Formats: sequence, structure tokens, C-alpha cells
Amino acid sequence: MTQGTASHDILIVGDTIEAWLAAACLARMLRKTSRQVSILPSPQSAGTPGVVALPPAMAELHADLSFDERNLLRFCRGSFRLGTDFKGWQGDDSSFVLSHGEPVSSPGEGALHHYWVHAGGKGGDYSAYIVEALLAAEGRFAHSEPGAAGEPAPIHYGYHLQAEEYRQYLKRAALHYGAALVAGDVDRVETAVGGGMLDRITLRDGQAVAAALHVDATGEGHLAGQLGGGGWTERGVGPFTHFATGSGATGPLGLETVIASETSLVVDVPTTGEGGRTVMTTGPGGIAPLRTGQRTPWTGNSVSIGASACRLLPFGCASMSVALAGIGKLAGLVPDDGAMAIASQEYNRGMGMALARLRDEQEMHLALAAQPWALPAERMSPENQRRLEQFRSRGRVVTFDDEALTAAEWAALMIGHGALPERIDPLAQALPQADAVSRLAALREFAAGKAARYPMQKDYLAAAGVLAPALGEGVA
Amino acid sequence: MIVGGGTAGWMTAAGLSHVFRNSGISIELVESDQIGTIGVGEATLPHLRFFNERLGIDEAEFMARTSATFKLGIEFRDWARIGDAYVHPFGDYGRDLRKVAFHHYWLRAHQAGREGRIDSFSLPVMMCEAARFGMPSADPRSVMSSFSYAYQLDASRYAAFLREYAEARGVIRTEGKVVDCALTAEGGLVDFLRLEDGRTVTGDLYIDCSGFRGLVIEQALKTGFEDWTEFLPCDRAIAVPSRMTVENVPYTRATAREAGWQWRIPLQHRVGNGYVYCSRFTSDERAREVLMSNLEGEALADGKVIRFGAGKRKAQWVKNCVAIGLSSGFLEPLESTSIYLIQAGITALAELLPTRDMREADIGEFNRVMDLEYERVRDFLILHYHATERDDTPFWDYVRTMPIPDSLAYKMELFRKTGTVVQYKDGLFLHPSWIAVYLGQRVVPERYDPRADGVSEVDLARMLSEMKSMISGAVDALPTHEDFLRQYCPPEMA
Ligand SMILES: Cc1cc2nc3c(=O)[nH]c(=O)nc-3n(C[C@H](O)[C@H](O)[C@H](O)COP(=O)(O)OP(=O)(O)OC[C@H]3O[C@@H](n4cnc5c(N)ncnc54)[C@H](O)[C@@H]3O)c2cc1C
Repeated sequence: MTQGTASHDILIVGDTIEAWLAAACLARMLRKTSRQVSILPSPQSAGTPGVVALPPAMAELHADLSFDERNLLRFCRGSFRLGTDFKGWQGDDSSFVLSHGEPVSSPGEGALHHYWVHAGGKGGDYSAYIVEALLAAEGRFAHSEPGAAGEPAPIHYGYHLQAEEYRQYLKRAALHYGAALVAGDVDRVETAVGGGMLDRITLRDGQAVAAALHVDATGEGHLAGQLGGGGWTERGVGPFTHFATGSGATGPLGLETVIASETSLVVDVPTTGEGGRTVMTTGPGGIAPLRTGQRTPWTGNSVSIGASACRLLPFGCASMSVALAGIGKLAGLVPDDGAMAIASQEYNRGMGMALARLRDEQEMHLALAAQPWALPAERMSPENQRRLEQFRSRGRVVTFDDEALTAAEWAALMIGHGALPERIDPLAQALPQADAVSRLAALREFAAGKAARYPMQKDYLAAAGVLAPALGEGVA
Repeated sequence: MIVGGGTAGWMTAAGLSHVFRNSGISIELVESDQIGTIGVGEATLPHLRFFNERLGIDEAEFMARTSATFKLGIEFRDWARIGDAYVHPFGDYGRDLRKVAFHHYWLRAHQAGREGRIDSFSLPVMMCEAARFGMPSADPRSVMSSFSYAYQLDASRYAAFLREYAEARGVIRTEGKVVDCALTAEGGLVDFLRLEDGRTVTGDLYIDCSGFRGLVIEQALKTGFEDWTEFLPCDRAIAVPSRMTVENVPYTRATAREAGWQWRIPLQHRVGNGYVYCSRFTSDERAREVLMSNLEGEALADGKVIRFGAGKRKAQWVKNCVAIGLSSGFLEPLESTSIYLIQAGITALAELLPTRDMREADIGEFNRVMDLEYERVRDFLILHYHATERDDTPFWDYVRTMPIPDSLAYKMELFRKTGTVVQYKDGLFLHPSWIAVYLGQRVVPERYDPRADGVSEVDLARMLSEMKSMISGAVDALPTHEDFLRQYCPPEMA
């Protein structure tokens, strides 16, 4: 380190959502310790998306940050997210809702889908058994069933938020929890001999900063790109090469829609604000190139998180799941100098698995599509190939370490796209088909009855005072 | 068609007869009284409870019939150093706080010289030390929810118990010694088995539970064995029951000896003992001498030498034959994993049992699941031998310095440097198990998670002392293990 360089313990570089989220989490976590968390919000983020979709696991992180949910939703003009509607993926007008929930129950031992297959087409839509999917399709929501007797089952949900507002919200939280702001713009990133470690970052005003640990949350890998071994591997998820984002979305509140055509995917995410629309295309058409891929996230003294580490296709909760995995793992591994090497090894091992599983999710959608751009199944990861093979072969849902989806979600995803088991559990098979059909009908009725008791999300939000604009409010 | 009627054979018969009770699948089992079973395998893991529960077995009746006692963990003596002792419990240490594992808080206090052993924060360890027992609570707020338990049981009585269960559910038993396994000309599948008296038996699927010999999977199908003796060198054992002379404790004991280790498993009516050793470093005579001179009560048998080798079949399912039990592999009894592996095999088989047609996909998946089980257990076992400072005998010096799998070296290094335990979704041994053995065998982290500094010293001290007194209070309120057994499952119930 050179003379006159300001040194930090943990320096987060970037002005993205993940930068501020990391700053908030790490600062909160380390606030009573001797470690200081600093943030250099540079370069200023250019392409903040219009909206972000947060997976259910995010709620836990928000709770750690003591976020008040109503306050968050009001500030970010957000809504509760229940799932995604996949339209046109099979090349016709069919569609299905993939929610974050699970079937209400099963007609017998073993998972519902065995009985559903057994009913041979007389079981209705698979999503008709999942309360979250029913609510999503109708734009309803409450945290749990209104007026339910006993301890009501909670609804599994994420959030849809206006991205810029969420970034601002996180920024306030980060500063509130004591993240130190380093003002300035990155000019040059210098590496130490050998190129494996960051030495210092020179700012436009000539000052320099350095840190024991750098977190590259620039969204573009500005730090990681300078390090040997931190190279970016282009790895296209499917054939979409270009994209554009804008505002305006259709569809019920709480439900993302992904409409597939022969040349594009159109993703609509409604919020209580402008909402967002992203269009991905298989050819140029005058819009920005879509780069998917990833890098080894931790090299030397620099960890890449969020889009600096991995970019997937912008649908579902992809980008926030990447950010969440990265921050979650980092939180458990903030090392001292002496443990940097092993901590980075463990981080890269864990993230390697987590990112592979997130990629699996997208690749499964693309592989099961009946579209000219569908991904050949043999190009999926070996894990995903096994998953599909096992599900098709006998309805077995195989899951691996660091899985982002539950077994129930995987089953719903594959069934939704028409991948059906050829054989089922012998126990389900042993039930006479007529019994299976009638028990399934009863379950559907049960689920529909539950769903009907939920209010419209718009009304629920209004009753909670979330719809009123509340600019200028702070973190709880 | 199940071949063999040891613990593996009858557990499989009972398990499958229950799962497929209404499905028209018929189950047969052939065994030979003349050959008999291995007759050991008395300490279990908590998973067995769920196996029995699923079968609808009444716990108290089962315990009375198998002369079982409760097991809260294993006490390891003399492993890292002579004089050391620790318990690997079936339960958690303390309570995690703000997503930071408890042992980091303990470590912080320990490094500052303010806390002694981590054991005081484990309810099951304290229960073991006090030889007390009570049922765990289902209420997560209660300290009594922080542990689980297993059994110590008489293996041959358990097999007999399950035989009765399975036969009552339609499993047909054939007595006879299999002398030949005929394969089909095309495809080399198992066609039928010939018995000594000339009869033949046949099935669609053969489940090889014939013990170490692997009658079908190895002798007929020549599957091959993956040898792990390089890492787990013990290859012989002598087992001897003895009379119970002291108070009955709710744990198994594993005491390191000059060329291996000795088990002590207390049952209701006797104590099971055995010396597991490495023939490269000691003789059978010497081993017998060591075992006999270290029994508490009078020996009730001579004990014969059992030979084995650590490792597993290259595949557990080949063609129309699935191996379950010792025929599928063996990883030495140090952590009582064999019966668990039998159970894992049965569960995977029940899920993948071919109905109309047998497919490569089923076979591949079964083998993947079982390979993972074996590999994850293997590393954990090796840790016990390798994490030692002992060099007082050639055996201990060898295991201390032997090369270990990279996966284990990595786990140990990560724990030493950061206190982090590598976590899997499907591993048998979870966080607390690794922590118990690491700390018990002197693999102590150099630093704790920096987040553990987030609590003030005063708050931390209060939190720790509250936890300790909650645990000791709970232990004091429990009956002794002996009283509990007498009341819950007395021999008269059998
Ligand atoms: C020293 C030692 C200690 C152990 N301690 C434990 C422990 O504490 N906990 C634990 O979980 N596990 C332990 N195990 C493992 C445990 O003993 C076995 O997993 C368990 O007993 C299952 O054995 P098995 O049924 O596969 O084989 P066996 O008990 O050997 O049964 C084989 C069966 O096949 C039949 N058979 C064989 N050949 C023929 C033939 N030709 N014709 C007809 N029938 C035939 C036999 O008659 C017998 O019924 C230990 C093992 C050893 C060696």
C-alpha cells in the first residue's frame, strides 16, 4: 500500500442495489465490532432496471435489517409478489402460474403430483391446488387466510419493487447502520505485483483508497475485471442476445408475466408505481446487448457480488437471487487477513453451487419451451439433466445442495411446461383412478374456497396505508 | 426376493412390506440358519426412531423386546490424547443468535478465558454425564427440544422382532442355503437362486442382504469393491457380551486402544463390547487379550474374530440386484452408521422400486444417492482417527500422519482458520456433530466469526450463564436413565 492512501476494512464499490444492500447488511452485522464497512458509490449506476423482483428468502434479510414491510412497500411503490405467469412458452395460447407456494395437501402418501398424473387429465390445472397460484392469478393477497380457524398457514411471497426507490431505501439503511460513505469517482484500479490482489483505487480527485477486502458491486465487474483469474465467462442462457427495459406492465398485482414468442420474451412486472417491462430478443433490433455469464466471484482481496459476479436472464427473481446468495455467503465468511485464502475458497465453492442452481432454474424453463429458441436438454447442467430425467421417469424430484427452489416448486415448474412423469409412485398407482379423481376435485374445491376468502391485493395494500405516497420517510 | 435374514434383510422386508402394503407386490426372503447372522450392530442413530415410527411400531414394546436402552450420543475416550474424553451428542450446542452459530460465541468467551468446555451448553451431553433421561419436547421454545435420541439394542432380537412384523404382513420366508445364483444367458441378469436341497427360488428384483460375502452382487455379478482401507485401516473386530455391573448409562462408549478402539454398548440385560483393530499393527491374540482385560463385568462368550475391509461396492444396484446392508459396503462401526445406511438404502429403494419396467434412470439415481451417503460418512469417520496428537503406538502414529481425502483436509482447514463447518443439504452428520468431534479432538478454530463481537461482553456472559443454568436445571429435573427404562419398557413387557 502506498503512502497517503486511506485504508478501510471492508470497502464496497458501486452504486447499485446490491452495493447498498451489501453495505446495509454488513454494516448492521458488524456495527458493534471493530470492523468498519465503507462504501464508494461509483461508478454511478447507469442501467438501474425499472423494477426488481425479490424472492421470498429476501424477507428474512429485511427482517435482519429491521425493515418495516409497510414502510418499504410504500416507499418503493411495491407489491407482494406471488409468482410468475408463463404465457406462450409451448407455442400456443397455454399458460401456467408458477408460484412460491406448495399444494394445499396430497390425496394420499407421497406428493400430490403422482395422484394428479394418475388422474390422467381429469385433475384440472396443477396450479389449482396451490393457494398462492390462485391468489396470484386473481390479484388477491393477504399474509394469511382471513378469518381462518387455528394457526393459519402463511402465504409464501416475495416483493415487486420500483428499483430506484428500493436503491434509495437501502442507501438510507446502509448509512443508518453506520456504513461510511467514501465520496469520489473511481479513476484507476491498480493491482499489486502478480496481478492477483487489488492494491489501491485512485479517485478522480487524485486521492487513493485501499481496503483489506473489496466488494465489487459495480454491476460491471470494474474491480474484478482488473484482476488476473477474475475473468468473465460468457455463458448464454438461451439465445436471447438483446434487451430493452421500460415502464408499464399489465396483469394482476403480485403476478409477473413472461410472454414467449418465436423471437422474444416480454417480462411484465406490475407494482403500485409505474411497473416495469423488459423485452429480450433473439436478434439486435436496435436495443442493448444482453450479456449473461459469470466469473469466479472471489479473487485475492476482492469479492464480486450481484451482476458483477453473475448475470442471468432478467426474469423471475434472478438478479436479486444472485445478490442475495452472494451477500448471504459473504456475511458468514468475512475473514481476517490470515484466513483470506480459505475463506475465498469456501465462498467460491458455495457460490459456484448456488449460481449453478439458479442457472438450472432458467435453463429448465428454456429447455422445456416449445419454441425455435428452446435450449437442447443436453446443454443443461448434468444435475438438471438428472432432475428432468428422474421427474420424467417416475415423478421423483431431485434436489441438490444450495437449491433456490423447493421440491414443490420444481415439480410445478416441470409440470407447468408439460414435462410429465411416465410412471408414478406405486402407492398412488394403487389408489383406484376414480378415487384419485374425486379426491383431487375435493382438494381443488378446498383450495379455491380458501383463495376466495382473500381480499384483492390492491385493497389489502390500501387498507394497510401502503398506497399513500410517503416520500421523505426514513427507515424504521 | 430378499437374500439374507440379518438386520438388513428383515429391515428391508419390514420396510417394503409396509410401504407396498396395498400394491400387489409380493416379498419373499430366503435365509439360512446354518450360516446365521453377523450378530453385532447394537448402537444406532436417531433415524431409526423414524423408521420404526413409520412402520407403526410401538416404541416401548419394541424396546422391551429388544432389551434396548436409550442412546444420547457416543463418549470418546483417549482419542486426541490419552486422558481426553468428550461426547458426540445427538443435539445442538447452545442457541444460535442472529444467524451466527453458537460455537462462535462460545469460542469468543473461551478464547478470553471466561468459558471452559462447550459441553456445558449441550443438554444431551449433560444428560449423559448425569446418566439421566427424559423424552424430548416438540415445543421449540423448550430446552428439551434441543436433542434427539437413538437406541442401543440387541441386534438378533431386533431382526426377530422385524421378522414377526414382516411375516404378519405377508412376507414369505424360505429357510435354505443358497448355493448357486444362475444368470440369464442374455443380459446376464439374475435368473434364479438354487438352494442346497435342490429347490430354486426366483423374483423380479433381488435384494442382496447376504452380508459381507455379497452372494449376488459380488459373487454372481462381480460388481467390484472400492477399497477405503487406506483411510480407514481397521479390518478386524472381536465382539464379546459381558455382564452389567454398573449403572446403565444412556450412551455408547468408544475408547481408543493401542491398535484401534473398543466399544461398550449398554443394553438392558447385558453390555455389548468389542475391539475394532488393525491387523497390520496387532495380532488377534493380543487383541483378544486387550479386550478381555478391559471388560467391566464377566465375559458371557469367547468372541470370534470378524474380518472386514472398509469400502463399498462400486455400485449398489446392478442389473436386477440391489445390495443393502453389509453386502453393499461397510465403514466400520465407530459412529454406528451401518444401520442408518441400511435405512437409507430402503428409503431410496422404496422411492425407486421399479413397478413395470426397470430403467437405467432408476439404477443410476439409486447409486448416486447411496454413493453420496457413503462418501459423506467416510470423511467424518476418518476425522476421528486423523485428528489426534497420539504417537505412542505405531497405529496411532500411522493414522495421525496418513494422507487423507482432499475433501476432509479442506473441511478441517476451513474449521481451523474460520470456525466454519462445511454444510450440505443431505449429509448424515450435521453441524453439531462436526463441532463435537473437532473440538473434542482438539481441532480448535484460530478465530471466531467477527459477527460474534456484536454482543457486548456483559450480555454475552449473561446469555451464556443463563443457557448453562437452564440446561443444568432441566437435567436435574429428569429421572435416571435406569429408572426411566424400568418404568417405560421393563423386560416384563416383552
Ligand atoms: C464389528 C462390527 C460392529 C458393528 N457395530 C455396529 C453398530 O454398532 N451399529 C450399526 O448400525 N452397525 C454396526 N455394524 C454393522 C451391522 O452389524 C450390520 O450393518 C447389520 O448387522 C446388518 O448386517 P447384514 O444383515 O447386512 O448381514 P448379516 O447379519 O451378515 O446377515 C446376512 C444374512 O444372509 C444370510 N446368508 C448369507 N449367505 C447365505 C446363503 N448362502 N444362503 C442363505 N442365506 C445366506 C445369513 O444367514 C444372514 O441371515 C457392525 C458391524 C461389525 C462388523
